[in-house]
Amino acid sequence: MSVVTGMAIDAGEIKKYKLTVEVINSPELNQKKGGTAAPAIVYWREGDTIAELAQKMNTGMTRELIFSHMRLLVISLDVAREGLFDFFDYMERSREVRNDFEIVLARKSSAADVLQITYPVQKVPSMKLNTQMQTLKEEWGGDPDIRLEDMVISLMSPGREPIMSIVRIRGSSEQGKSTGNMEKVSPDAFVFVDGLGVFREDKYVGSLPVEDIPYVLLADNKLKQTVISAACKEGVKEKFTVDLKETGAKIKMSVKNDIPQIELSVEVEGQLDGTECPDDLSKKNIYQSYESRIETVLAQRLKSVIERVQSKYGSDIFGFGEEMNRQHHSYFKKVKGRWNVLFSKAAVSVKVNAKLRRAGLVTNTFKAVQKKEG
Amino acid sequence: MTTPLLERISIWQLFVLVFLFQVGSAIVVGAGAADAKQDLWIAELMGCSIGLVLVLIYVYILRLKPGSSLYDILSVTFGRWLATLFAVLYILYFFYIAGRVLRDFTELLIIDVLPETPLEIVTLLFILTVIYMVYMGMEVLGRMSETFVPYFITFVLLITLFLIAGQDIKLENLLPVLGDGWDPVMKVVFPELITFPYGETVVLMVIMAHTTHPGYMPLTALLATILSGAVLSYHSGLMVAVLGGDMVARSTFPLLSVVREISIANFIERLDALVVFIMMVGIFVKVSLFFYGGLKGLEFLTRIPYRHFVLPCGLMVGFLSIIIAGNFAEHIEEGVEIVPVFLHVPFQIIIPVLMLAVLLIQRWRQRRVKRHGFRRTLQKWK
Repeated sequence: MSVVTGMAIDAGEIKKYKLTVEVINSPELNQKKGGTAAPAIVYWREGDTIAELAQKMNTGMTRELIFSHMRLLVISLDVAREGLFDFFDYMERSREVRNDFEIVLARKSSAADVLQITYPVQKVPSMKLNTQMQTLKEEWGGDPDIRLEDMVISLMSPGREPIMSIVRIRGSSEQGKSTGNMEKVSPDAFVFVDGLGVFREDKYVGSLPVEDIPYVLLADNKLKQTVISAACKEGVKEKFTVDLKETGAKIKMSVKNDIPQIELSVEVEGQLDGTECPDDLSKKNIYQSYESRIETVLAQRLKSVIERVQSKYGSDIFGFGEEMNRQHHSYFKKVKGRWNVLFSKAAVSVKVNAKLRRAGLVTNTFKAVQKKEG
Repeated sequence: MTTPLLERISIWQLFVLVFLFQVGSAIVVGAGAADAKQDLWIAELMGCSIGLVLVLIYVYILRLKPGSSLYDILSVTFGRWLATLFAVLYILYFFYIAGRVLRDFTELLIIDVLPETPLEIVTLLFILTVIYMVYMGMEVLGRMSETFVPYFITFVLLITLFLIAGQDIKLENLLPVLGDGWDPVMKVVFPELITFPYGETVVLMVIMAHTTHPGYMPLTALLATILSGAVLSYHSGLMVAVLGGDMVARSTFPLLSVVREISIANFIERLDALVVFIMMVGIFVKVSLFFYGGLKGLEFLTRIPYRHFVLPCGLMVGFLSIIIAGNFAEHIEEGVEIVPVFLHVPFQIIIPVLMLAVLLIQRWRQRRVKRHGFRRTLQKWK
């Protein structure tokens, strides 16, 4: 048996799809015996359905392929633009494919290339990317953690549109494909997260920058933790940074004159990571002023992200429609066919309640002491 | 003519049998989800409360004629010829349902865990085990259920525990409650959720009289039914909370899909076998009971001990389970659209209600005769 760890789906040149599978070369992953040979092997073939291609991979590979340990599915932007998601049915139906792999879009390169960029610590490309996305989600909230079922639900649900992380290759993808990439302190090629793909129905319509991802997640109450920086006072250049450890959002939907009203009340709690301002952090009122700064800045950014999605894409990627369905079912039933239009007109109000709990190992910043003595 | 051996099961074994019988396959297949969606748990509660009335009718019939089974009561109520006809129909019904239930399980096995194995092999292995156990008798079935029920309950509880630990439960999926009113709920309650699994308890009328403490039998059966209703309703809610109403409605085996979601620390995952075990125990009890119910009918008709029929009839049930449907969709379509209306309703509701009516009339007459007789003697005495 050969274990498939990653799949990449590109648009084919002759046929509809080009499927690339990545199979691990397991002896290479052995800590003691592993040598310098390639940690994984990829093979591609074109065809009209992914289900057929998955069975046909032995045209180039020796052993029976096992798909149950797949870690990554990369989809090229061409496929996403055309909305060619017919293969999700195959994946949902298959007993081998599970609901535990990352789904990402590949920008500025083929999806197949992403499956081949090696990395010194985790040699198999798709396993590296899977761990990377998970850690990014945990540490900074930079990945929506889209799984197969999430995709299917957002494709089915009238009150939610799909999103997917976008990855990109930095450096030379040709050199990145060799094992030589693993021997360098600065690898020739890196796969990094480059934004969030926004869909309408099943078609890719555009993207949001990486910086917006935590706010998109927060509006959907899916954010674990993130970091926010804000100017210490209005009009000051120096900033302070807060690690938001606990985040939560409550969404209240209502309708006024056929215009949906979205009321977000967000609760965040965190600790100070650093400040550039000469503020005495042993004082309660400094905490309070920082808290109110976080509240204004967070509310502003959250609102601007939602409004940007409303005006630019008119696509409810936050699942406000689902919330509307839960809170005002009979209204939503009437408008679900044109929900995206209503969403783009919806009035958004954001209320943030921030709590700054502690400030690390130091109370008063050295800058404040310098100033007093100087 | 040899007199059949009198077999008895304990009250606890009866409780376990009724519980496993009702929960066994219903917990896995998620009947009624297509219409009720996020309100499935309400539909299950309704189904259980109406199903409870059915079970009440069954045990009341048995209380009216203590010590006799379904077939004996048929002959008491409907006379010899009609009773023979009904007995033949019941035998065919029980064998057919045994085959259907078996097919439910073999399909699950082949879809999820044994994709390369032919249906025939799986069926044969399963039915041979059932044949062996039914040949050994009802007491063995009782003891087997008693042995397996702790594992069954542990596994069912483990699923909840793992889902909580993995943070897979999203209670907001249960909203809106009754968003489309009662209509979609009522649509699945009758006949689908009442007949499956509560109405199917009719087959237990064959054995329920043979307990060590007949006095406790009605209470035991009713309590077991309430427990199954609670377990089924809870799991419907759980499935919807994990997958969402639409996904449950689309899933072939919703509980299986739910368990496939479990992944804790990339270590506790791929627990499909839990569901397969749960379903195996339930189906084993169900197939055995339906099979036994049919065999007892043959015994009633022919006065030959049922053990003579076990092997040939068992192989027939196995064969039937293979040929009743050419594909899975046919199997499910028949199960949802035809079987409840044309088989379940007459055999589970109409005939038992008729039986009860006849029995009550008979009792009323007897009492009147008694009372009049008493009066007559009174007059004589005067």
